[in-house]
Amino acid sequence: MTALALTINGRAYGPMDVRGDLTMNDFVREYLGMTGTKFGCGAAQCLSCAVIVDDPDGTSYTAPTCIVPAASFNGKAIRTVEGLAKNGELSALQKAFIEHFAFQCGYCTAGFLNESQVLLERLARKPIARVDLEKTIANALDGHLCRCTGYIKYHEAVREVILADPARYLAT
Amino acid sequence: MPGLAPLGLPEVAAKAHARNGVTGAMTHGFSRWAWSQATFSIAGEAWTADIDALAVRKGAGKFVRIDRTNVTFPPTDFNRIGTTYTSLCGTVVRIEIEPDTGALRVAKAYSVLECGKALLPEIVLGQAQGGFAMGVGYALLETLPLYEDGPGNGKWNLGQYLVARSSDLPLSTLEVEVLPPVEPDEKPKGMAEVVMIPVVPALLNAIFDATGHRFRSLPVTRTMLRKVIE
Repeated sequence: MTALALTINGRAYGPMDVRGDLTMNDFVREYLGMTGTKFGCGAAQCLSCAVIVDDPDGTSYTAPTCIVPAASFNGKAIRTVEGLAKNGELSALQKAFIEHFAFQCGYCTAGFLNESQVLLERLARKPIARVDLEKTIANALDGHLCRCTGYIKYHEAVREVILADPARYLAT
Repeated sequence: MPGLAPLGLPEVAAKAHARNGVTGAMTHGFSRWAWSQATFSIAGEAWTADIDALAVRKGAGKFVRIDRTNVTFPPTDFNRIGTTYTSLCGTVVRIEIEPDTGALRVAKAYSVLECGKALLPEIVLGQAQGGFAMGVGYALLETLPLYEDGPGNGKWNLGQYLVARSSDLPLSTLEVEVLPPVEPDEKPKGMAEVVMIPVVPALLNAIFDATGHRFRSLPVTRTMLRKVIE
């Protein structure tokens, strides 16, 4: 057993004892009942299981949870798809996903939302030129696998959110 | 906690026999692109199901037919459904192959589809875009070889079985055209993955056009392309 204390969606969990070989995915889904985070390939290849990790310096990144021990998240602050909506209202990104039908079976959606959210926050800190937008979205989302949609609707939804607020995301 | 022991079929069957309860059921169904239907009176309640005959046996007794009401059969015209309800799809692709590496890029693509009345056009479009991605996967990436080193060894994952990623696809240049129904009152005909089927021959024909080589097995990998270009 090993000690685990972390922050998820702004709420503190632990310290508690967990098995050393307990994966972060099992911890979130089975211990906490937060099933928004999916279990896909179990080999960190599809990234449907990705959550957001918030670093103390204000930057964030996504990390797979399926083959990663829960204990390795000790002391960290993470966000899951359940944390994206605020006060019962979906985020701009979530609304855009719905408007664009940017999901079909929905299995990869949480991973795509988390990755796109990290991208939006990165652009808000460091805007990019309009001409680089499509390539930047493509690079950010490319690791995530989707078998239903052919990816186009995900990319269009993210692009729409960014273009709707150019002062925030794009450098002039 | 140990919980209760699993309830085995022999115990259930013994109890049903002891109580002279239902110990067997026989049904008859009929399908012609839709199922026959009938209503049966069971334990005083009307039960409608996709079957047209039902008989049950109680205890060790004989099978007894249960009278049916409201029986309906699908119209004989449905026999022609395979020819009249076909959704058609075609695809054109433009590809670029890098001679040094054999890397193939789908530069532009067009898929055209007629599926009758689209009940949810957004999903028809998404399915068409997803079908294109799957076609690219089948033509260029996905392979399931036989024998010991194949996926049957239980060790394969998405690291070996490569499906199309967004970077394999013409995200901004894939055009999908959904034609209006052939007849104004045409029923929804379904589409499923028909949108994936023409993508594969379109890619193979484009490869033939570019290299002069006709590939007879899938997938056509970068290495195979590089060899025929040499």
